Amino acid sequence: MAFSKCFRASAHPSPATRREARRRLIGFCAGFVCLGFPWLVGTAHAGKEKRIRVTTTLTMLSSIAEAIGGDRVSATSIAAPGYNPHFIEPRPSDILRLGRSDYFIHMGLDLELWRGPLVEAAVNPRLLPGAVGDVDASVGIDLLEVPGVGLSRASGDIHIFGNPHYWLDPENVKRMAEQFAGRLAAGAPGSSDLFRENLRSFSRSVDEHMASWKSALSPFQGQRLVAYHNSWPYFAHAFNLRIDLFVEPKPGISPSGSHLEGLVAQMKRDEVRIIIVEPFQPRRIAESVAKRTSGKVVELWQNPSGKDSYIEMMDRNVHTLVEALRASRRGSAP
Amino acid sequence: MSLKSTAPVVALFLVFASAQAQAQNESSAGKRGLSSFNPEIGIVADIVGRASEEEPADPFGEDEGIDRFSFREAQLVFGAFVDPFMRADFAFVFSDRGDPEIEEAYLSFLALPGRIRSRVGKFRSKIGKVNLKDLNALQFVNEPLVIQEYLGDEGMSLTGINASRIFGLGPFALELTGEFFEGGQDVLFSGVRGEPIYVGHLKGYVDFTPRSNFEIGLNYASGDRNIAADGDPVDLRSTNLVGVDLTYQWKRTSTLKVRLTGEGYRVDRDRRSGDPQAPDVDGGFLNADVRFAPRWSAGARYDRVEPLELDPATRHDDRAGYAVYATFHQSEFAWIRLQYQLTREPDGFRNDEVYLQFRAQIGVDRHGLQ
Repeated sequence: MAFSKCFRASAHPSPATRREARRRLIGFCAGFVCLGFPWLVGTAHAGKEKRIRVTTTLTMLSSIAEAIGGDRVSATSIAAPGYNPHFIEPRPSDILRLGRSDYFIHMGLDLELWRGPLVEAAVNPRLLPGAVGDVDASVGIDLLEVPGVGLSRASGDIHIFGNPHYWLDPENVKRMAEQFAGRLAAGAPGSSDLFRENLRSFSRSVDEHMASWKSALSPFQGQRLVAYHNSWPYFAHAFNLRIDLFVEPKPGISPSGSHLEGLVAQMKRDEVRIIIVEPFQPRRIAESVAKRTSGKVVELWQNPSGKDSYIEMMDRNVHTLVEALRASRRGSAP
Repeated sequence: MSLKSTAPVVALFLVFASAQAQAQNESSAGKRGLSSFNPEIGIVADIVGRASEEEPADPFGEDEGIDRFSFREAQLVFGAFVDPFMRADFAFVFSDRGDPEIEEAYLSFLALPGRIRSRVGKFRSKIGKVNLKDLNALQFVNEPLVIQEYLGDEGMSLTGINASRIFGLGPFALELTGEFFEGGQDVLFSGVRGEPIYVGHLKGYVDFTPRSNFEIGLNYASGDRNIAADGDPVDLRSTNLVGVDLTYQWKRTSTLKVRLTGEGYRVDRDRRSGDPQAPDVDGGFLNADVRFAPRWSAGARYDRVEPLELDPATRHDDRAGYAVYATFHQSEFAWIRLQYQLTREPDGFRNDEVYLQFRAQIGVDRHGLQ
């Protein structure tokens, strides 16, 4: 017990003993500073700053999770923004990331059919369906185009629960954000005030932008548009547009020549000039239709690019569409 | 295929299907019942026509109809969560060429400590990439020659248990898998149930860019081989399979992507008794597959394999194959594929084959992640 001997009280310690004790004390302190202190600081730092790890299927979900979670949340998404969310091939790195996540936020319904095998491969019991870290963003959303009885693939790649592109109505996004705030607060009660505050701020921002977007699109209320795929019913509902003509004859089915002929005829007859495509859809087909109808193809995004937020993406979508509609009206004016 | 052997599976399917339909109707009406817990159901139809220059050795026996238009398989898939910790998956295969069989039937443990994933039951062994896929889910019509020759016409699916774990190492994602099978594979190994087969697989994966990635797999399988020669009924000797698989993928969109794949294997057989009939053999394949339009993809494959029954005297006479194919993707659920294949057999015979494949699915299509 040399160490204790050095610190043992002694009535008459010799100078050598005192020097030895001092040397050992200094050595102990130095060792603590070099080894123990960083560990304690690290622990304290981790305890204070440990971020909630959120993995989402789409970038728009990670955008909202970051807006609500702020610095407390580290959010990443699996699907790159320019890809069709229906057909993502998860990678081993995604499985690894999901295995370490506290929350998995997805669109629910049958939008991401690839997510089931992905969650099972991650072997993270927190994220299994219905578990504490599984967040289905569609909860509480009023779905459009819910099919009735007699559902069949003869109608194409239809969605059995209803159209799943509900986040293109900003009002639905506010509901989603509310759910995220509640779920994050349940896992980190100490930060619930922060999440509530961020939710208020996010909802306020959505409301302000919504007013401006509605105002920008108000001259075009009831305007009929073409979309490549039936992804925009919520957007149309939110801004009082009519998007009911499609380049695809049925959801998920590539267009045939005869269908395109019919579409061109109807666009000419009804003076429909705008065709909406998404970045992953074959623009060439839409361009050929637009050329024959003196129309214009506009590219709108469903997911933020990674550099911008959901609100910035919607802002860009609305302004792109407004500009195209204005140009279309100018072009058709006598 | 006898009606008697098919009847129980068909009856089982009909019961599940009617219950599933009832569940869908109920949920669409806003109601839920116990039938909501019925498993997911899917059926894949795989119809293949084949024309070749091959002459059947026994036109009225096993080789009957080498050139024919056949229902190669109808695959029935059922799957559901058993509880929060386990999932059960089943795949039954019917064919107009043989009896129905259980292709896969396994339980997956989803909540083991240490993020270990495990399966128990009958499942496809984790050897390479092609062996993991159902025959109807391949990017070409038939298995590469090396898989047919060493693992069987439809790959290696056996009863056993496995465990795997994914972990990160810098930019790499690594997956280590260990498998234990009871035996019963009679192509490469003894075919004796109770003579175990061990499989090890290490996969390394890296994203080069957001659009391109690379994967390498190291494969090892070991078991015993059964030689029946000169009245010697069972002489068990060690057989090892070692291999490597490589995959590079570049993807612009889901309908514009390139995939390059290659697998190579070597079979190392213990010749303690000096049996010259069992030399070490090897083989492999290379495949390039391009999805170049929403409805079209095409590819080419090169095969080379030394047969397991290679004649040591002429051991350079291996089988070589060259295949090209094009696929028309009618929709997400159906495709039509045309494939031409030239195979040079060890005896010099040149076999030209043309395949026409129709593949369609209804219900759930549940292929696990590769």
